[in-house]
Amino acid sequence: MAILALAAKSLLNRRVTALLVILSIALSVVLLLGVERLRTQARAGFANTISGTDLIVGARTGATALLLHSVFRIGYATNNVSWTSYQEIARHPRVRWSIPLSLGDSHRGFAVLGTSPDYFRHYRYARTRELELETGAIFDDVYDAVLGADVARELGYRAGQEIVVAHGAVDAGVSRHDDKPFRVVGILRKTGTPVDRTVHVTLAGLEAIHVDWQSGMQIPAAAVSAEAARRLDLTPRSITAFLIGLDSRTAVFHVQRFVNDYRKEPLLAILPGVVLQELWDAIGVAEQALLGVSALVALVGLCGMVTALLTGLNERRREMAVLRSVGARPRHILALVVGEATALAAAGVLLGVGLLYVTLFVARGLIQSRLGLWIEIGFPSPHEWLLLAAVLLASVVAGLWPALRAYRYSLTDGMTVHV
Amino acid sequence: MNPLLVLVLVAATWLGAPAALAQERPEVIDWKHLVPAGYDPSELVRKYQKEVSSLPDNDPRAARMAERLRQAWENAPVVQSLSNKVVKLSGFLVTLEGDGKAVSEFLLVPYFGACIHVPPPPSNQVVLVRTGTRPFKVNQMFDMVSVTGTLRTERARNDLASASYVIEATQVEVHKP
Repeated sequence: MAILALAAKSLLNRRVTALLVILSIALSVVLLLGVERLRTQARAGFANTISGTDLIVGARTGATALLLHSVFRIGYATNNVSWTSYQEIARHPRVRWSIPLSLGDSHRGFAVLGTSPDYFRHYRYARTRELELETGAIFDDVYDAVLGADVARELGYRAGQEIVVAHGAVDAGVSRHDDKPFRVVGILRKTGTPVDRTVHVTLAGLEAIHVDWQSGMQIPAAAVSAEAARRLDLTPRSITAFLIGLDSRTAVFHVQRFVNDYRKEPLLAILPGVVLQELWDAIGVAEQALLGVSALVALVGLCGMVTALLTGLNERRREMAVLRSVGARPRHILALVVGEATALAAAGVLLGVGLLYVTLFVARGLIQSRLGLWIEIGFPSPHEWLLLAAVLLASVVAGLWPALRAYRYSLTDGMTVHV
Repeated sequence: MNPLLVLVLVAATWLGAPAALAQERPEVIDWKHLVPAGYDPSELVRKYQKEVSSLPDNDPRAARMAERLRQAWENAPVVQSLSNKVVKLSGFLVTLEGDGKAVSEFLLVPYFGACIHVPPPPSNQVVLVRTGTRPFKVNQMFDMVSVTGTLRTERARNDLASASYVIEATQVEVHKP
């Protein structure tokens, strides 16, 4: 044990270098695990957002664009689907349920989604989970709104409160539909999906607030009061997209073909699972590149450690000689240097994992508000343990080089050092 | 360990193995086996083709006929005798449900690109595969896989015409031709 105490004191004597080595290894571990973590969490988050939906139908655009816009609220729709087309496709004999989605308005940075009560009945996430209400009920009246968990939490809303919807994706205080406020009737339980950051209103409600809007602006002379709007025909003329569920999943190609060949309007139907898979395949190369870069950074960190140990050796030849004089054998010297490398790397890995968790904890709010994805903070996955073990193993191997050199020094130098 | 116990254990393994193997050994089937023996869709196509070719271009009757053909094609019959058999079938994978790393539900189709480029295959050439608690790790879009499991026919509604195949998979592996 005396040798360990001596080794610790020797290391303490070189603490600045040691700390820098630990820090560089820690940072490389943060990068390595962080990239891996974000990659898997992003995939899981995206995959868990939509489940049980056979087809997503929208105006003809890119498949990925349709998926990202309709489900993840990323990007914009290029065109709408007419209400009559929606009605006709929803009546297809194989279609069991459909959920209309109407997007484009916002409330203080949160998307406003016009939909039907079927949304709460048929929407599934994380394989089979249904949307559940935390408080209140789903919408019933034209001016009712149901909030996602984060909307209610971040804005401090409670059931019964009135909210004003803004025209367009950014609420800058102008272009507000403040003549027709919505009343919060229900708040959904947290799902970890973009649903949490959505204000759900009825399609009729969305139609009502746009009743007196013409050519992209509200015409003051034509203003219709909230009560008067109720008496108008509030059937929407168009929606952004819709989700459909079929009576049999094997019929999916036929209904997809039916929609894609639909003559009255250019439409696109996509299988969400396939498009997500396409997305992973497309960004897989970038993921691999990122992982490669972070592995290189880990390598640079280890090189730094070897450099520090090698340059330290010359200064430590006297120290080694003293150790030899009190009975240490050359193999003890070897073990000492390898042990030191391992200890430094282990400390670096520990610090790195700690830093990663702190970073994730701080960054997850930001990630959620930007991407709508909720990052779960759990124990390292088997793959992550493997990466950590690889870093440690590499450090032991890297430590062998300076250790062998120290071994040779201690043999040739003996106890008389002529530095 | 008691030598007698070892003997009993060895005997049990030896005796039990063939029985278990016989039960588990799947019947390797081909996509052709999923089509009933007398069923010939090309006859249907020929029949309609003759009628369609006698019509002028853009005749609404041609469109109606195409629609009837499409429906007949979609509701292709299934082989009921295959139901509840343990089978092994190879084809291309089309993801339905997954978590970004593994798929838990997918469609198995006989040829690559069955979802976009050509008219979809008839309903007896699309098999829904559920992997249950053991999701399959995918490497790429349209992986070619071999699926082993119990084949069943499932009716979407109460008419026979809408029956389709489902495999409750016990094993999914990358296909080695």
